[in-house]
Amino acid sequence: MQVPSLLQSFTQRDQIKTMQLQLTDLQTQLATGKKSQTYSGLGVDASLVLNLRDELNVMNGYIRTIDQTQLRLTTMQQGLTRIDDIAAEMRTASLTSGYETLDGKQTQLQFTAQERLEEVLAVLNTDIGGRHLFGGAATQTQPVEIYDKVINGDVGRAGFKQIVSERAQADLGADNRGRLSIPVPGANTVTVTEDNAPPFGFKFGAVSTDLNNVTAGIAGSPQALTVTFGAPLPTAGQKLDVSFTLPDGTTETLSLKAITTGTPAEGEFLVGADANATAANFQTALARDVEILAQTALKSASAQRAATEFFEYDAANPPKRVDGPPFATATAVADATTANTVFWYKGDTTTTPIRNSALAKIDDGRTIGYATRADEGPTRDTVKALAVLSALEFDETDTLSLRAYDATTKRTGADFAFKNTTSLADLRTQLGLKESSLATTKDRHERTINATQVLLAKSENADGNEVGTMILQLNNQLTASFRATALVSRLTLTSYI
Amino acid sequence: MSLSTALNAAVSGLKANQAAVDLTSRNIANATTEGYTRKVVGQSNALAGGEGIGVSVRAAVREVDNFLFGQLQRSSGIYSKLEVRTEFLTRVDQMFGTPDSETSVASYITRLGTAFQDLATTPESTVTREATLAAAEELAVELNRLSDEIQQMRRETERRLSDAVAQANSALSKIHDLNLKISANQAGSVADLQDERDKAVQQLASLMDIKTVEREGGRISVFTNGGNLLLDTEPTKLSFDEHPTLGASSFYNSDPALREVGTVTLQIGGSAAIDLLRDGTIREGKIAGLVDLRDKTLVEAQAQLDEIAHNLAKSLSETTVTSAAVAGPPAGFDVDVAALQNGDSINLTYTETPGSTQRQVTIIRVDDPASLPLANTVTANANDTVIGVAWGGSAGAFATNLDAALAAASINIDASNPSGTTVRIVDDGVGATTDVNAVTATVTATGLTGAGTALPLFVDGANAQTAYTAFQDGAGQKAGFASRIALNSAVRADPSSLIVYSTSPATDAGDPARPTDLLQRLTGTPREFDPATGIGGTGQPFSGGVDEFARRVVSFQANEKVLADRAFDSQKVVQLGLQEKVQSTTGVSIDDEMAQLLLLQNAYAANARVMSAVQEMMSLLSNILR
Repeated sequence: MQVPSLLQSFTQRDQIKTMQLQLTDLQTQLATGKKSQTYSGLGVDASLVLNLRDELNVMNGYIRTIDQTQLRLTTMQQGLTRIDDIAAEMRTASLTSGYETLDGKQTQLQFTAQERLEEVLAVLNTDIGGRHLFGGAATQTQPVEIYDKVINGDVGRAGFKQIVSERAQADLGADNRGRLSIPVPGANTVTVTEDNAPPFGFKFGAVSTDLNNVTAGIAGSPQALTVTFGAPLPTAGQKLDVSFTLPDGTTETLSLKAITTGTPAEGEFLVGADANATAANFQTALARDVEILAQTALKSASAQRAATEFFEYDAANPPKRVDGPPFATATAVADATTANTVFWYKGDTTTTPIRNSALAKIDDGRTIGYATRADEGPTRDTVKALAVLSALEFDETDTLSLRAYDATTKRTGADFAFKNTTSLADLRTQLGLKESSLATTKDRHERTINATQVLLAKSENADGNEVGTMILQLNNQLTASFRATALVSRLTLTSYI
Repeated sequence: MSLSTALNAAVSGLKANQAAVDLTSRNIANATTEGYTRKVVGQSNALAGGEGIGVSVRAAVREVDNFLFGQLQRSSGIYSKLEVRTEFLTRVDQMFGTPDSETSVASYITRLGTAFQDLATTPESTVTREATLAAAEELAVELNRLSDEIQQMRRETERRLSDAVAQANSALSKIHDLNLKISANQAGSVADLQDERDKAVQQLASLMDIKTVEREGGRISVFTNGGNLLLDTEPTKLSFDEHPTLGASSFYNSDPALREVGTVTLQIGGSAAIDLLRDGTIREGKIAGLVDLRDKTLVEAQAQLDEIAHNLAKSLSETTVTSAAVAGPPAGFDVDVAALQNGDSINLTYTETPGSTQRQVTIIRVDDPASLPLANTVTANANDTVIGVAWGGSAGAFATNLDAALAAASINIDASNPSGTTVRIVDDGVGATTDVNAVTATVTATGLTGAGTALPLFVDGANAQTAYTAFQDGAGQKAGFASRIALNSAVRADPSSLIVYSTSPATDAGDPARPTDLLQRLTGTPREFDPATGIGGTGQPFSGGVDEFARRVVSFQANEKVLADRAFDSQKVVQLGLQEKVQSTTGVSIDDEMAQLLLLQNAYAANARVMSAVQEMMSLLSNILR
């Protein structure tokens, strides 16, 4: 066995070449800070690195979604806060407002309501980056009409004011008797019959009386109240109570007290000479009081009902309006069409639940719905109450205006208080929960990203110290190899003979 | 015995020394020549009539270890095969870019996914829509590029195979030439000719695995390891029919009519050419390595890309057509095949009694009956039976063909065409051996709206932007789809179609339903992947999102490279060790030669001294006589 010359020592040459390649590789590592320029260079970590990088991208995608959603929710919350403030302001104002018109028809409160309604509608049309926030899934159209159209209507299309007026005509009837027929009695029996117009006017509730020898009852279809007087006649102070259901669901009771002398004031009737005369007097008093009640409570209730029919609808159930003209004798409501009526809300009405009409995927398998709609309970009720105040007029020359106004503010005050219904505060809380859920999820994603990056760095990044040490060691090894090789190559006989 | 005998002996000694010095000088001069082996001069005592008369010199001979040479030959074959494999796998690995630059195909899919996610958050944003289209287009272009690169590599292997076969032929003819010279020069020194021949054999051995056999007259015969004679008295001719334009759907086939790539053939005399690749005769060497790459490794890499492209297109565009129950008896379902395109499928689930075994059948519409029957591996699903059914031009013909195909597969289920485009699939009624549980059709959406949230975002670009349905005609639409996949130009022209999936009722421009669903289809809903890609097994195919599979492909290729490197490195140690051993036993050592030179110098001086002594003695003798 002979000792091979350097030229023949393939292994040694290959080793030196390998060391030089390693040195180049280490220099690249030092320059780039990365262990390898190819996936294969990462060895078994290749698959880990691929998965970690994918996770980073996906997490960043979720965070972008969360940021975007948070921006939208914050904007919604700001809008809803403003509407809530308006509702609170109007509630207080409704309950304290006195009847004092500014222009002979409307009060300070009503003028404020107009301003606020205009503002609320503008808030509901808020868009952020070309996306409307209060239209559910319909993000590209303004969800609500502007104030002028909603209240005053458009060319050929009725606004709320007209709807209120039509409904008032239908409810009150031409004679202001709330669609009750109160004919002059022929004998000792007063018969009051509801008009055969189911949705309109007064509906009898119950009747009770302690009048002597009087029988009172409600029967028939349409319902009729009969009051029959007999002898001996009622004495002073005895009374008859009859209650009515109003179109907005409220009830009002009308009391007629017997007096035996003098002129009967509101709530009184004069006992006559006999049963027939008393019946006639009773009819006069009843007609008088029904007319008063119609122009006060019924007017207010009618406007409330009109607001419900105008503002509350969905895809399957369009808004309703009085089937007319003529309105005073109308007997039914008809579906409004977009051709004849302004639809105040133009957004999405189909997606249920409402929140799901805007979804954000914020984690693997986790989606939150965060949509709101202008026609959602709390905002719609605020708009309704504001619209009622804006649309109604209380003529100063009308002596009943004060009472009608009080009946109206009592009702709107209750509306703004959101009694027994979802309030704006409830809505804001619901959205607030979504916001906090987003924040915690984002926080978690950020922690995951940090952890992932640490792991990724461990698999992907070159350790400067380690690389430096290895370079030094390789340098030493190479130097030693070269020196030894030089020494060995000089040890040849050629040098010595 | 005389002085003249001594003189003659001394002269013969001088001559021998000169010959030896000559040889030593040649050894030293060729110390670094590749394939040169150390020559030694043969000397023997020259006899005349039983008496020594000096030294006689014989032809120079080599000192070689034939066993070691054989080992080196085998090792070179393995080494060259691994070397070329490592070279190509390095390039495949590098195609995916550096890990931190996120330029791998998997990263492109992830980016498309996050683009869908962003789009679901802000569907109305035209910027986000454009970004999504850009991500989709980049992905398609990247798949095209990767696929083209793979095919480029395959074409390169083809070209290099052609070169390698030419080299093998030239090595064979060189061996043949040297064989002739060696047998003609048996009397003289053939050591240098043998060196040359060994070099040629070594070269051939690194191209393909061979065996050599020594014959009379110093000749050698060369055989392939499989036993085909390459060279005996005459060299045979290897040839390679290069197919320079081979593409993704060009494969090797032992049937020459179907073969679309080149093969190595051996022509002996007038007999028919032998396809060496068909017989698997060449197992090692560069040729085997190149063939392996061309027909297996790179084909597999292409299949992986095709599988990514296939699932990318299918996952986004597939939509399900539900069926209507038929009360019967015979009971079953009516399914509308109006939207069933070539390659789309009907999925039938039925229960077989007795035994209550539930079975799945995938019925695939096939337009070219020549492609029938279909292999069960057309779907990755391990549990279904695949039945290809010729369309025949109408739903009626299809139902008839389906009925016949079900009967041929011994499935007791009937198909008919009650009306229009409806296909009725029912059980055997009173026979009660089968119950049809469910029938659905999986069809490919072609329009931008009207197929729910499915969207044909990717189409078969090279085929005039036709829908990708994975039809089975010919080589199948999947073969090479990665190089043809393209962004649907209809979507490109109308980016709002990423959002709008319905015209009546019109989809709101802010509706996130479609991008949300596309994201789910791409990364959420698990799909099964074809085990022919080398990923996943036939019984348990790889299952996951398209992005997951793409990541698996990248790490698979990285791992292939690591394995190839490891094999190559260990073979390198063997190869270098053997080469070194050959060198140390047969090569020239300068030190030895120098020492030899010293000896020769001394011997020469001694012989000369003998001559001068004889001369002195001769002159002494003549002086005595004077």
